[in-house]
Amino acid sequence: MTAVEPLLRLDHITRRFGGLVAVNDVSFEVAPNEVKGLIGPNGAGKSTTFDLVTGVRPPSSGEIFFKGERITDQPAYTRSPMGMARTFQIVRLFNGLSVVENVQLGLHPKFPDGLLRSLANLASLGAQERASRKRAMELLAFVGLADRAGHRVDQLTLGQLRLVDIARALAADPVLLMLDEPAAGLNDAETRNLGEMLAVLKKRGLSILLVEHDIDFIMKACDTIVVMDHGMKIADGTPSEVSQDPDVITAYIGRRAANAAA
Amino acid sequence: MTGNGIPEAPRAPTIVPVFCILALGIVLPFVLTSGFHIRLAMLVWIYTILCMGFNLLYGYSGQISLGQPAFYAIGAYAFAMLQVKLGWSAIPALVGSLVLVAMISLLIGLPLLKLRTHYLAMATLAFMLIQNGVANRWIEFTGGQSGIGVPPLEWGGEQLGRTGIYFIVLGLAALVLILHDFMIRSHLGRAMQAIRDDEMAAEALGVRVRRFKLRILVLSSVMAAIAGVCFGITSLRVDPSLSEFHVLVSMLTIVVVGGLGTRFGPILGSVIVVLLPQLLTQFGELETVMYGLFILIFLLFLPHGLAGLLERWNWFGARSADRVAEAPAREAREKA
Repeated sequence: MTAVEPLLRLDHITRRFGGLVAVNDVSFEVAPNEVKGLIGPNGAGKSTTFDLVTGVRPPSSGEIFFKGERITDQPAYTRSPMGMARTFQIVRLFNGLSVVENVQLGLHPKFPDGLLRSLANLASLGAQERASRKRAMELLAFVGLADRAGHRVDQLTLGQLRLVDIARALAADPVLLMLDEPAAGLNDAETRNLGEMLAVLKKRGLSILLVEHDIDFIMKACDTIVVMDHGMKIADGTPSEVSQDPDVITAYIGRRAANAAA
Repeated sequence: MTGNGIPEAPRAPTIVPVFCILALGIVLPFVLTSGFHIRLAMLVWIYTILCMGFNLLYGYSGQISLGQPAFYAIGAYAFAMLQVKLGWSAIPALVGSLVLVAMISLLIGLPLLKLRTHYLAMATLAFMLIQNGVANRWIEFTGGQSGIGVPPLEWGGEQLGRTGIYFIVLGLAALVLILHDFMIRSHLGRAMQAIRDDEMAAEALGVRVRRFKLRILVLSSVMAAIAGVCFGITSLRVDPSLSEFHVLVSMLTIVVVGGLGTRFGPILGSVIVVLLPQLLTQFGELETVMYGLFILIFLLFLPHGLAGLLERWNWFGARSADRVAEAPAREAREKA
């Protein structure tokens, strides 16, 4: 490798579901401290790509590298300890736990694994638990929800749930944050707030890969954008490059413009 | 909301109530004079041990195994047979039976934990029926209906008295109670509840879901086996009735009445389920009807069980995650 090694590299990734090719020979990279958007019309293969990177399912062919390590067929639980954290499109918080406990779960891989190892580390476990609570409270304060720490998650609004999800992902101190449609269902003020938060995270050195439908949001938030259509990558570049790309205009923005004109 | 203004996290529960319960357990044999009452107290502890394992597995981790009575019975049988047939003494027999149950549950769990909900329940129930069938019918090996006698415990060459046996049962119950409480209050409890609520999200956060579920199954089976050994040393006989349906029904009643997925549900439920029939004997023939009525009332008015009720009143000093729902309502009331 010359120059800067990419943080995340997708190398000719293909995923088939029976006869359907959901992701077709897609390659792109996320550089350190880059905010990258992944957009495309419905059914373009964005979510499948997201699932392949986060280890929900392996690709049919191609390779994925994270921090130079091959993670193509590593299961999902290996991502968090490596420094990759994710949020979910449909918020998946744990309803039986309080808000702060949900965030603490983001720190789970740092705790001793299993009952026996926990008992062996009993002396330091109390301090670790208190530290994890403190860290979780800091993250809740960062997303502006510290006063909700003791609440059950089913008492929060959708906007608040998304913020808890982000706080939980940040708990693992990731270097790459994967956000699956973080602005979906948010109102304008909440979306603005989210945009500012991502800018702060970038300033702190994080890399972010986000799948999003909200074009205005993604144009403002991202350094570079990958556009997908019918499972294939059709463009990759800065927001201004991408928005002038003829393929993108036909496949996506053109379609919207046509719809708007109609 | 930034800077030095980070509020304190809500207070975490402490182990104090566990020690209170154990202190009560230590005092009990000096208060109870009749042997019958001590026997009932031991039965409460035995059911508490059995149901704590089930509580971790189902209440906290969401894996419904109806095969717990089978592990209860296997633990008891192994404890008896290792002594009677192989001539082991009591402590090696205890360890041996727990190791055996751990291995069996591991073998059962490997294929079965791929199943979920009803399928897991049915498969584990089938395992219990098979175990019960073997205990009943393989007469040369298991003694059939009449079972196997358990040699009475000895201490310094003398047979241990009723109080001595009580304290051994209490000691094992204390061990399980402290383990159960440690699991719930630590990061392990959080991981269990995460698996119960959303396996995919738990996995994404670095919880090794399949391996964790298997470990919980083994742990809860070993707890069932400890309960079985306790039954063996108190009744001096193990027979197929240990894994019959009434044990399963008692176990389910205890967790529902006590409160599923709560810290003190198993012990509260065990007290009710063991003592209630004794209090109801005065109703003569109507005893069973009254018992059923009581359970029905519990289900209708206390869906979170007794523990849910006590935690709502904040009896244990700290809110459990299960009950934080009450907090905003209380805040609203205080503001008004």
